[in-house]
Amino acid sequence: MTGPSAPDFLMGGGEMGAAIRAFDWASSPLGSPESWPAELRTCLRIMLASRQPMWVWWGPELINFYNDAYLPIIGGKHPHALGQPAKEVWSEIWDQIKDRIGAAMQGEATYSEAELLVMHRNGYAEETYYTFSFSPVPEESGGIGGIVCANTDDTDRVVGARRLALLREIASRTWEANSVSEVYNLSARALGTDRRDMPFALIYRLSDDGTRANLLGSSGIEVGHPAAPQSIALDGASPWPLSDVVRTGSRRFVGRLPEKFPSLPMAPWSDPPADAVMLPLTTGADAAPRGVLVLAANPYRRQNDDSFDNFAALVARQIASAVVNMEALEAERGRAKSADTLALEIEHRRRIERHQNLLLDELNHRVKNTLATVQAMAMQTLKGVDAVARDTFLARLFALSSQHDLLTLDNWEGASFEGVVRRALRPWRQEDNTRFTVEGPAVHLDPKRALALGMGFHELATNAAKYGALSNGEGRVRVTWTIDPDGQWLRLRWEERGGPRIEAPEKRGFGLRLIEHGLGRELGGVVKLDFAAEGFSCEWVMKLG
Amino acid sequence: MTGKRILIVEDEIVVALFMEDILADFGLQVMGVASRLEEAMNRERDYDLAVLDVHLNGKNVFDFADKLAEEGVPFVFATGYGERGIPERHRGRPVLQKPFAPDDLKRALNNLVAMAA
Repeated sequence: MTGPSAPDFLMGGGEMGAAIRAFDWASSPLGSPESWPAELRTCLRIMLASRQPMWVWWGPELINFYNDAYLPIIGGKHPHALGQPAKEVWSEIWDQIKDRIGAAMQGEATYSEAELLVMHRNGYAEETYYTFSFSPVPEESGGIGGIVCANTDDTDRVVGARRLALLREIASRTWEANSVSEVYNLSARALGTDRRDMPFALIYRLSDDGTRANLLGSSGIEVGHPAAPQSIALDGASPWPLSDVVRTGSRRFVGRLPEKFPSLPMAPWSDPPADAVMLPLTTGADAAPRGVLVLAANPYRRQNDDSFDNFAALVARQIASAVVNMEALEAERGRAKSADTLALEIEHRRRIERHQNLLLDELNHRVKNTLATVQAMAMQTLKGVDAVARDTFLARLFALSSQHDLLTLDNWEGASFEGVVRRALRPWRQEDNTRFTVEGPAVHLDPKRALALGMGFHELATNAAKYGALSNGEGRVRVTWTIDPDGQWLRLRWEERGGPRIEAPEKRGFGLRLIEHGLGRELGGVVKLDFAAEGFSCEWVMKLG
Repeated sequence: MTGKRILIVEDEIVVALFMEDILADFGLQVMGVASRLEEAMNRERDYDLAVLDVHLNGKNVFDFADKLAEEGVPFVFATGYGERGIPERHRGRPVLQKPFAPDDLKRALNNLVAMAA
């Protein structure tokens, strides 16, 4: 191939040196190498000797030369690319660079750093990143003869940094999550920051019963799109065979996406993703998958390169760890929260109870001490004056005090009707309980009514002890009450039998007046006294509530 | 019980006076009235029995009750609270609910003396 006529400037230069020497330049726009200008010769010598990927485009047609270091970049376009116009060699990126080429041919150098170039050099579109400089080569004649370009392939660096950034993004975003479903959602948003690697992504969470997978997060595709169903029954037919992934706990690839889903989104590329990988969201082989991650793959990624698969596995692992951590946190928080809340509630209730008890104790204390003081004053005042009056007074005082005790027992929440009756009658029942019948349904009385009724019964019993059924040895007292069917009225009957014959008093004493008027008013009811000869009876009708 | 010396611990002056009277009626020798806890605690032991009001101007009488229990002096509580306000260690001691009938106090004191004897 190396002709004896090959010019000196084409000596060496490895494979490309040989290729250039062997090329039939005579039939090219540049003519035979012997006629090439000094500037082109110098450029080619520099290019062929360089370890840096370089090319030289020369003449108005920008005829393409490149060195050995550039071979990986030009890929499948070699060897046909040699000696061809650059516009034809790089038709897929020509629109992107033509302005800078034009500027260079006007003498203006440019420098482009890590620029995305989607190249078709190996039979498919490929995402690449290059840093390159277009340096115009002036000719002695005054014009620009061509362009020299030094290139650096930044693809691995750019893609690697981007993927690392995404993993960090998932970690930092899910750190903000407050719940497992937020982990899914925030993970999906993080995936949305790297659409070049994953044009769309779906995160499905398995339902608790394991029969369905529900879409909890997505990026790059509308929820409800045929390729992004909101919910997938694992035992049903689905474009995404998630059940395989769940069952086996290992990833599955799904190809020919555009055939399965006619209207897939294409952004950020100019073609829809061709395939996707489905990965179980699990932190280890022995752990049950929490869900399934579906990552549509970059259609422009380098083929025969497993770096995307490794990356996808890392993404799934990252999300799964965030999910598992949050599950643990939620469980712990659930325990801590319920324990905390419970403790707080108990503490709060205790404090209220303590406070209430203090107040009630204080109230009882004051009531009792006041009654004791009144008792002391009365005893002193009535000393030696009227023993009967004194005893009557003390009995009333004790009755009042006793009803207070009843209320104290129930923390002043009131008292039962029966309790009030029994307590009022206690001094007499202690002597002979068989003389009393106390019967009626359960009725709760508020403190005011309980006290009023208690005093009323005390007066009734005192009256009976003086004049009625309790004044002899065999009389009986029957206390009964009923509630009207509508629940509004309570009817109470006090009935004395077996006592001495009685007649209505000409003048009603304090006790009867208290019963007849005081209680009628106090209890919001009607009191009827009946002085039948065979025994006194009294009927109260009192409004409840 | 006649002739026994008794201390009244009570902060309600009218009640204290009343008790002085009835205790004297029972034939007891009332040595004095303490209306504050410190007064009771610091008082020289010149009594054989005591009636203790539980609440004394915002303090309770139980420190003094402990002291009496230690010294083996029989006593009875008189309180508006009833048994509920009495701490565990003094449960079982006689408690009079204020207001109480003089006879109830007499009965309680008789029991105390009888048990101490």
